[in-house]
Amino acid sequence: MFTKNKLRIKVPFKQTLKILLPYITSKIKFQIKAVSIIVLYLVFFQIFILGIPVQQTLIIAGGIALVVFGLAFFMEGLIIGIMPLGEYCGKQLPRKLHLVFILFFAFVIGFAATLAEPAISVLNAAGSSVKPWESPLLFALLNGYSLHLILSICIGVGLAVLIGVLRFIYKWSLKPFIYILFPSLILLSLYLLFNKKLLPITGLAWDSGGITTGPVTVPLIIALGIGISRVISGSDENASGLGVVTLASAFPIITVILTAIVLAGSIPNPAGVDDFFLNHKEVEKIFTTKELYTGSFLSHCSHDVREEIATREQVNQKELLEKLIANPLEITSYFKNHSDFEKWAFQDATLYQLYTDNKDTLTGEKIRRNTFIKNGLLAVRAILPLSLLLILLLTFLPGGSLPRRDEIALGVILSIIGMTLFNIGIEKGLSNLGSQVGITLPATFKTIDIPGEKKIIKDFDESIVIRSTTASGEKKAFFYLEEKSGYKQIPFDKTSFNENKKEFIYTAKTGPVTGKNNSIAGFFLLIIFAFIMGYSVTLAEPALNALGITLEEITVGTFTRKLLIQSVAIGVGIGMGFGIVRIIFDIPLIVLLIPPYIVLLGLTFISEEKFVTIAWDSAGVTTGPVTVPLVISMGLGVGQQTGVSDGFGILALSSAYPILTVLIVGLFVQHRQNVLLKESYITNGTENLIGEKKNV
Amino acid sequence: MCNKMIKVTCQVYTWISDLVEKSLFEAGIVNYHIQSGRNVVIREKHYLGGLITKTKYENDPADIFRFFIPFEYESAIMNHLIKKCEFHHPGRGTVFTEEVTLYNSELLHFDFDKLNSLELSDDLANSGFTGISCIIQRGLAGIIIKSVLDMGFCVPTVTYGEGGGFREKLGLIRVAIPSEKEVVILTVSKIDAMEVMGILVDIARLDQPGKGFIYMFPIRKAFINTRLFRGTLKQVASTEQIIQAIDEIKGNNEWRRKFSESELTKRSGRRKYLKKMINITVFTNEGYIGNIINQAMNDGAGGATVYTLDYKSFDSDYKFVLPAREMSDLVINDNQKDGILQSLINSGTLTTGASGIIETSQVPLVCTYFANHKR
Repeated sequence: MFTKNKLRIKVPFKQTLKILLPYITSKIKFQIKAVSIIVLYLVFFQIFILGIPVQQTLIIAGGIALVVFGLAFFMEGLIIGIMPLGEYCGKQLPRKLHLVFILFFAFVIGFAATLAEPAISVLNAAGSSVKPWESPLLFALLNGYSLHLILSICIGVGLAVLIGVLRFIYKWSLKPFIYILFPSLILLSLYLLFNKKLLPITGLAWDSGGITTGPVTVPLIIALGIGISRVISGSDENASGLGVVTLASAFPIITVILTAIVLAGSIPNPAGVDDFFLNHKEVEKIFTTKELYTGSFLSHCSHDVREEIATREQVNQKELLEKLIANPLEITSYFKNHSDFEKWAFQDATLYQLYTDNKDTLTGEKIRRNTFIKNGLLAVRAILPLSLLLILLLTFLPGGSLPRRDEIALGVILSIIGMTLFNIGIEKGLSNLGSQVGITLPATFKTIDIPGEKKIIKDFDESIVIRSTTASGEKKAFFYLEEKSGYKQIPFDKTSFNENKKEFIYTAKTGPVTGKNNSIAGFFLLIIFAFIMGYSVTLAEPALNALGITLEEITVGTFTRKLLIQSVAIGVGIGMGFGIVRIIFDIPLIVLLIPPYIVLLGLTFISEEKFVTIAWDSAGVTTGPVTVPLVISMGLGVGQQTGVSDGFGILALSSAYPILTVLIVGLFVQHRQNVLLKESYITNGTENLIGEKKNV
Repeated sequence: MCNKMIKVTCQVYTWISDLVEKSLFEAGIVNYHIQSGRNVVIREKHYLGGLITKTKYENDPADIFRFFIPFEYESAIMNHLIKKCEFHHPGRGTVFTEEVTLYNSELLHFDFDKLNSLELSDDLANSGFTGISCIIQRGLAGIIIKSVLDMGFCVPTVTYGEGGGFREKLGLIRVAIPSEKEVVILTVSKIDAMEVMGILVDIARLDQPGKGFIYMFPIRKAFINTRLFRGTLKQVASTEQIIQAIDEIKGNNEWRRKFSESELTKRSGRRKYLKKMINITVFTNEGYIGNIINQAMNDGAGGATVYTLDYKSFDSDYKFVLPAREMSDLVINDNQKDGILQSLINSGTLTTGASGIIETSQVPLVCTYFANHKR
């Protein structure tokens, strides 16, 4: 609404630098602070507690630098461009449009925002080690039926925004929504608990609730809500502009579970690997492509079954391998990872020969995609369509106007650049570091192989092997290896010994840190690790920062950003601890979700509306682009070592506990205000100073 | 069209707000603006059996009510509010009145039956206070708040605002200059006001470029919150209550001046203040103020601070006044007044769309950095 100024001052270049430099450095310093804790912590834990060196340090360092710059750009873009855009839209829509159109646009905004954010890739990562024959429904939703999953999430969020706006307009309290939604979600999940086919969906559904509310959607929706509720009701507490995020985390859970229930009939039942691929014609449908289906049965089925299905599907294995050798880039379109490919190639003598002859071409060539373009496109997809939608809406709305165009354009560009940078940084830096730590993490409570620490002993002489026995009489063998630090006992394993070449290959082992396998202290250490990691990773979360800034603004500094972030971070830490417990002991998610949600419903009942909306909204905000990849890589890492197939559920748990901590903080604030109110009644006797009887 | 009226400002903790709204309704005040803010007080905490004492500054949410009333009801309204909201209990809030000239006062209306039925009694509010408003970059108000509290002047009320002015005249580079401001409103004793202002200018270096802006505004009557300290009570009456009582007996607050006469004359004259300025405050519906302020600045106003407010009305007749409102303060030279007023009116402040109210009041003293001060 600011018109062009007549008197525009031209700033000389030197002066521009003088203004820009402190501005940029302050923003970057802030992000360094936010990110440094998690990085230092991961490195410290890996090196000093687990005693394993960090690999690819340079790439990781570069990645982390990118995260810092990316977050700085992205946050600035949010503050300058995206959030004002949402707020302008929120303020103008209700004044200019009929209710039906407002609701229509609310649905479209929610739908489009979710479609744009690459949530599905995150869910895919969490489910990357899901085995199709064990939980076909889950596998189908993540692969062949992923469009169903995406659409159901989008519809869920669209409905949530629609109802959220209705809530602002009619000034409904958020509490009844919570009382109805979450108990029914728990009942739905309990129903799934007794259905073997549907059970694996629980984690996916609850996680998709948390993931959908991403770093662009959340600030935008919150700004939109604040705009709408300001125009409609001023400072009315029930409609302070928060609450949509809560609905947007709950509705997708329902829609995903319902979609799964509907789809369940057309998806094959879980079975053993061979039976699964043999008996079901419709198995192919649950894979994204025919190639992946081929790759999957080739690498997982036993020899005879593989041959049988290969003939049925007219796949010539030798020709296929030759094709892949000629074009190694195609391996990824058949096999999800290289070890699956090797598993297939090693199973047959002719194939093995072919593989070893061409080993250099197959493994030597690094398959690289252009990460910059990939991440750039993702960022553009997440930000541009949504901002354009709002910009067009504001421009072409009768009587609407788009104030501060230049700032908004700058903000959108900054946030695209920022998101590109931090996505690359997270992929190359944080996630990389996180998965290294994740894989080595079980070393806290059990012995594990150190990845990448394969050593070959040449001219190995079998006569140095010493026989030994366990107390129960089991025979074992080991030999001494001389190292700089002294003599080390290495267990001797015949399979690692190549008699022809006289080579012994061994993997360095480490752990358990606490000295004993599966000791309580070891588990405890692991849970503490998860807690601190959850805590420190939350500090860097951009959407949470945006919510913190908004809250500080609304409450004129009485509910500070620091207080919000700290209490949420502690909550995420606790949730992460429980998440790890779930993965180690393979406890059904819902069992761990019920107790906190019962407590939450109670606390919600006694809390003020203001804190209820803040607390439940912050739950949706916690799981953003920094937390999710780290959490998932950690979950998968631990899961791999302990034999749990999917990394789902940690996110749902780490969304539940922040609500708890924020509500408790809110109760403290509430209590303090009551005390202060009472304190201001202290008078000198029954008569006050003005000389009137006091009526208490 | 222009009317002399009384503006009442009532700064209370949010847990008193309901009571204020109720008593306004009872008094026949039909419409008013509310702004969110915070009050800051000192809390002393003792640890290890009193070995260690720590001073904390506690921030609590506050609401600032603003409304206008005709001159003749000033005492009645003040007495009503003070009694109903029990402002005589320290730690509830501050209420004060200013004399203002209003344009477009037709937007205001009152329930005169209720106003006339308010009981008349002796003034409970005191004269002898002056307001000081200090606008400073967001996040830097702490130093001002601390020194005000440490010297025991009053409970500062802080609000958030956004600065316009110089920044808007730059190109896109303006995004690098934070526009968020923090505004500290103080109600101090008239005799101390000059000195307080001097101290604050020194502490926050407000006479340096880009640091901020401070001005004094006259208060007619006030009843102020004296509870700027929270802690354990060791006497039968708190210090605040004793102060309240003596104020009450003396009828003024001159007895608690902090600086001697000689000290004042010694220090004054050292600093350069701008005198006899005018403050123009504009209230409009949300979304209009940007244009209006920009126009005013093109026509010569130096700078402005914009605040967001809520508007509440017990009357449903005036639908075009939105619940979301904005307010802006422009402090200008006396001789610019007519030009700027014309500019404000020309840019549509008084149209139904903006539903604006313009208010002018005297500002006896201003201190900030002015480039033309340099010789």
